[in-house]
Amino acid sequence: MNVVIQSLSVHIDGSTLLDTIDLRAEAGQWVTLIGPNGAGKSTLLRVIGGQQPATGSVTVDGADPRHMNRRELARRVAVVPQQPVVPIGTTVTDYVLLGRTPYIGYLGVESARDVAVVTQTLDRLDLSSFAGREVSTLSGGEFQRTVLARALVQEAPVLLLDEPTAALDIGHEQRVMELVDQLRHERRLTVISAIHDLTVAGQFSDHVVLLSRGRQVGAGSPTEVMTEATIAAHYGASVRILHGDDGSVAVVPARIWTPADRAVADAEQDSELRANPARPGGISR
Amino acid sequence: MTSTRDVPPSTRSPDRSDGGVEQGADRPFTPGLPVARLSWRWWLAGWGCLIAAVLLGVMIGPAGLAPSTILRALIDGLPGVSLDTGLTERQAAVLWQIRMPRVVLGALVGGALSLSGAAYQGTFRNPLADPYLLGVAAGAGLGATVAIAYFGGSTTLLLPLAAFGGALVGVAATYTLGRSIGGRSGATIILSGVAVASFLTAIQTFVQQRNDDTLRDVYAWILGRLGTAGWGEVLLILPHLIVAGIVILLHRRLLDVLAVGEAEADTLGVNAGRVRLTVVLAATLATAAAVAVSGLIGFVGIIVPHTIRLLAGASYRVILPLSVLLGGAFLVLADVLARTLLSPAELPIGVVTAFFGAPFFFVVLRTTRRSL
Repeated sequence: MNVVIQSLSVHIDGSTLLDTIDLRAEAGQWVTLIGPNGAGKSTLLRVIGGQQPATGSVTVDGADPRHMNRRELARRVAVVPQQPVVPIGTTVTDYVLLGRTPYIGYLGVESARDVAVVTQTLDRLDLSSFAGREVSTLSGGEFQRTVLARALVQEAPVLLLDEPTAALDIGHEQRVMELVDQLRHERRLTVISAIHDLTVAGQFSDHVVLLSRGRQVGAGSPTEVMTEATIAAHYGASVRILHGDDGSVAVVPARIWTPADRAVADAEQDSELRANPARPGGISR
Repeated sequence: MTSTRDVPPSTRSPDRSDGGVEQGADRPFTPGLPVARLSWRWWLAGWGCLIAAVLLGVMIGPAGLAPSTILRALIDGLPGVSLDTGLTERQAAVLWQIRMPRVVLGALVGGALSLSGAAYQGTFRNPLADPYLLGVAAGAGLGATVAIAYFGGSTTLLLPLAAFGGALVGVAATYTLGRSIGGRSGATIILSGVAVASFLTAIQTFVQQRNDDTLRDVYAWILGRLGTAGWGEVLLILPHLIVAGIVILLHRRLLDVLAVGEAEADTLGVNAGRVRLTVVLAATLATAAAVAVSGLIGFVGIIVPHTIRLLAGASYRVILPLSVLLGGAFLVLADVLARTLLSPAELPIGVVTAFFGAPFFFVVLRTTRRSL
């Protein structure tokens, strides 16, 4: 199932949050939105999720999410929010079962198949042993897997991830991202994510879209988009780019004030001091 | 899209060799996945408490009827059963016209207040939400005060009708104001409820001070009582409670969805605003009906749902039905205490619910040590 966005804009109260964005994500493809804070990444995800009005064209498998009813949309698009609400007292099983809501009648209760899907997904994500635990007692990594499980039981072909690993340490981040990658291959999911960590974006994405102040300023493979020049231009950051053999990209921050700079500055100061040896407070060497 | 529901994941996946879910599809599922449901134990316990409270309620009273006689009379009252009860006509009148309607009304009011308390807590995701939120109590208080002060309404059917009308006016004002502000969040509605309540209470206090000869009657109503109960009151509120109760109970699973907040509920395919409006209207109808016949009985709508939450689980599929049963039992027992502690005088039942309910709730809170 593909997601196609053409000349999409979002204006709120006279300010432009997104300006003529074009994006295309095919089944099984992982597309990542990158860009500095406030670039419009989350806004774009909300538009695809049908939660944000926008002008222009958006289609999920040929249909416009803004005109779909909520249940229909929830069967096509599953969302892992940036900061999911942690309901007090709810168990992992009940929390994951919430993801079956689009398949359960308005006033109905879950079917055997709904429970079966939850069981399989808990198994797949190594959460079976947590089934009876309250979500509020889980660690960050466990909770993130649980939220992912809730999104997966929606059996939606499109998965939206908004900064899915922002609260995790590097090990848990890596495991969650690898899991998403495996699942998208297993299920041919269309994954669209917003990720602020450029290295993570560069290692897991097939395609990245660089947004800056609501405008699309780059799109293509990580190697094409994530260059030292573009990152300096849009993030104001000094970085070095490392390329992997598999086309992945790692972005390493480079100190703006390097040891070489320091040596130059020291030398300049020394020469100035030598030129004025009699100055009070001057350092003699 | 519609067909995906009935197709197992393995047949849809293009990559079946990959393990995980695909292999899992043919495996037997983990038995007894702990889905929140009202267990038969809790179901029996709830009914057991309610029936025990009702029996106690009809057996205790100043007329001194023997429990065995009352039991026989109750069994005789069942359809298709005929027993020699040995009750005199007078005793039968005490049982069927005085004690029984009072106990039934207590169970209905207690169940209604607990159920609407739980419903408000779920829709507003606020553990402090109670049935008297949104101007219900203030509106009912104003209606009752006007009825008592200007129409001598403390003994007629006018009082419940005035209280009921006042409660609905209070809620309507809260909603209209809340929506005119434009906020769709629960906080906006609650805040406009606070404003409406202050305004209506000010008018109520003014009316009360201008008519200080009826002060006592007004206070007696505000503190709550079941003493004037008859079958008329039961029949007056029963249809409202049945409608409201069914609507709320049918939304039990959706209240669990609302626990993740409006935005996430939306991504799960639920129109949170519509669910909230429906449930709040039903809870308000139940509260207004209860308040109309019993006055303002505080605390039931907070402690009963929270006690259930702490003991039986946080899912509204458990909390809502148990609230009806245990809330009813709680208020019937509180009423037994209200009329026996200082017999032949009666304590206001609101005093009893708070006096015994608060320490009990504290004990539950301490022993379970779970967060609300």
